[in-house]
Amino acid sequence: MLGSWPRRLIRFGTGFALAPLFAHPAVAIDSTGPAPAPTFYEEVVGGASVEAVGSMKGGLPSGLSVLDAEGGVEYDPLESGAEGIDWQVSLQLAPRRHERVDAVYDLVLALPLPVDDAGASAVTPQQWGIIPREGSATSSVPLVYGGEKLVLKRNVGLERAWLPMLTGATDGLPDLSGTGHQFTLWDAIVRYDPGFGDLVQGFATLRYRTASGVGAPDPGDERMVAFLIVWIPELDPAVKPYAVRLDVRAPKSP
Amino acid sequence: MSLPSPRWSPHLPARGALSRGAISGALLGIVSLPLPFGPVAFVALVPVLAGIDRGMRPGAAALAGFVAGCLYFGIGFGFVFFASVSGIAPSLFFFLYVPLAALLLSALFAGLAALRRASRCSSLLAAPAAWVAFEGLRSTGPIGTPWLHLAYGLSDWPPLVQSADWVGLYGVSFWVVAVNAGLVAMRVVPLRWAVGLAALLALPLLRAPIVSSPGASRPTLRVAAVQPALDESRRHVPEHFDANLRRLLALSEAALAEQPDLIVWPESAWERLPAWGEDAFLSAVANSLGTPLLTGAWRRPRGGLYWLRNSAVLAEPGHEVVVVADKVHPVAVYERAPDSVLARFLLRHRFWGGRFEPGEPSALAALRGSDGSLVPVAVLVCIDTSYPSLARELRRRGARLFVEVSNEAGTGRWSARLHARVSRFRAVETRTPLVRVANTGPSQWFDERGRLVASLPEREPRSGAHALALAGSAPPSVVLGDAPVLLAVLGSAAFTAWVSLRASRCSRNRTRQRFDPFIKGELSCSVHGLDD
Repeated sequence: MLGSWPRRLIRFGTGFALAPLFAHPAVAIDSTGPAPAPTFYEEVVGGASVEAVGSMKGGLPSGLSVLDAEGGVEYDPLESGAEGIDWQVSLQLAPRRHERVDAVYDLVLALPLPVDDAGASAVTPQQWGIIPREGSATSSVPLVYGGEKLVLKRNVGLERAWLPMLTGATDGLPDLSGTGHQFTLWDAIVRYDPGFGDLVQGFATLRYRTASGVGAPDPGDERMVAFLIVWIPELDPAVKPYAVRLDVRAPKSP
Repeated sequence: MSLPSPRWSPHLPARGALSRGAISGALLGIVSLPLPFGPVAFVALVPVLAGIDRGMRPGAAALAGFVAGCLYFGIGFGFVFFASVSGIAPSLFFFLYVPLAALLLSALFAGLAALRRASRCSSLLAAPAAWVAFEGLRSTGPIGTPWLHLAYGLSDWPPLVQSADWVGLYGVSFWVVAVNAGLVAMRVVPLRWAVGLAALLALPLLRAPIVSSPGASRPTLRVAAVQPALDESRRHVPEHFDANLRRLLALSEAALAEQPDLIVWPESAWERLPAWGEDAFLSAVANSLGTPLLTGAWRRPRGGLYWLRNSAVLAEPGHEVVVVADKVHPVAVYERAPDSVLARFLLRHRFWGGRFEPGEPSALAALRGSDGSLVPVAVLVCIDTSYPSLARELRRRGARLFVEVSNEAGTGRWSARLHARVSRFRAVETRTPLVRVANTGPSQWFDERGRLVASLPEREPRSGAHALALAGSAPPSVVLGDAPVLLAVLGSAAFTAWVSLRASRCSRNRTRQRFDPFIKGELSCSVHGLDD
């Protein structure tokens, strides 16, 4: 799956694409060719503005429009000691087209992290947020979008509200019961930046610590996936936001 | 020494009453304007009170009161004609409220004139208490509006209203009218009485000096106010939701540079209609900002079908969105859902446009202060700040800082400034710092003594953050409520009754003047020894 991915990115972890700014992975990117196909949300709004088709009522979508994408998630144990095991989760996604619908987006990363037997979180994050970077792993800078440095922060409120609706639902998130992991949601609000360009690209890592004995997610378990969800909250909750599926892959060999 | 004896006509003609009413009304109107003429309140009632003192008949006094009331409230509420709120509701409110309030004032002056007939000093003695009763009455009922109290006219002179922490809003109004009555009395009492009276009336000024900052050693809360300055015609219009939200986000992000403990958006700034206050989108916004976000929002109450609530919700990173306040007193006619026979009648004829039911007072929000401790913060939604009892209740429950979320985009700059006066007074009265966050401004930070810490310019999209020292222990006005004023009113009424009764008996015995201590030479039966 990652055969075409630049090795330098793989070596350092991830290439993490800014999900709300991407359209279908199948869309060819060729600025010299015919007009590009509409993005996901351009199709949804059908040429109108988001406000025109938006909904003033609150509510959360009960499903996702899931798209497969090149990329993945990798959980690597870095160091283990008396205090536990330090982990690094690396995320990457193939470059994608910039979403062109003028709106306020919520970029949500649904990321499986270890839980204890009671279902409570079993990780101690070593970072307060996930900061996507752009460029290559050897030469990168924090991804700045709309004049702001993008930071995905853990959103426990959203987890409480949304995960019960999504988990196990048709077109939702897989039920991770029995895997020793549960989904966590990390998000950031971004405003459409028309000057950003056609493509966005980035990668990110998250470090956390667990108790000894906690293992990495099983890459062979089809349920073990992460999702980058691109949600325009203004739209009616009946519109399922698109989500890019990122399969968990085996840890790199040391 | 011989003091000149003022001319006194036993019955002031109606024409004189009219002009006195007009002058007093105009002066009261000036006091109620958002201009630096507040202290005019100390003399605004002198023309009418002096007329009554000089024997104005009750009928003439009623006329003076009506004229004064029409001018006072006509000028004071004149901002409704500059309102951009759609429909005729503001005008309807004006044309209902102004004559009704003027009639009340008319009755007040007629009553004082009737008292004057019994005893000269009783009308002046009764005036402060009667005025306070009048202010209370016109603030209640289906279209009651708690604005334009005389005390509010002094809000922009914090040294003059520091006694409010003891006597509250009505106590300060009582004092202002007492000064008016005192000025009238001073013309006719002996010098030593006048000096004593002046000293007595100046007592509240002992609270005036503001030299210390008692809150300097207390923990602080740094509150960011986001003032989007959105035109009323662009608010709550789906086509503008995105643009409005972007402005709020941009201003909020700018405020983050000042590391606030709380970001506040104005009344109904969150333009979605979350069920019972829950909204994951808002939660995501707060999470993205990384700072607790308080915003006004409309919501449909649990089980509610038609009426809405004008609320404030708190979104904290890592927590669900919670409702922290409802507007308890929606504005009559154009905001409040019909709740009376009159309102339902007006609704049937499409004159009543309100659709918000009264809600519950603020549940205190616990926010992390500068010392890391949890700070109880109370939220007041717009005009709720104008209700002293509500603020007192929240203070008694432990609030150490008030946040007011307001929107005067529809009613205009004039009303916004009047509202800011009210907010400022509330800070002094409850000795509680207050942050007023208004859509079109002025957004302001007041310390517990009513000093203006900072202000955002009106009608400009701005944001800013400032730290306020949290409130200390509750002042007497919070502990005692309106009890001191009530006592003063009752005491005044009892004393007036006693004086009137004595004067009446004396009159029957042709010795009335001996028991009317304020009277000097202008009565035909002069007080012995004073003219020498």
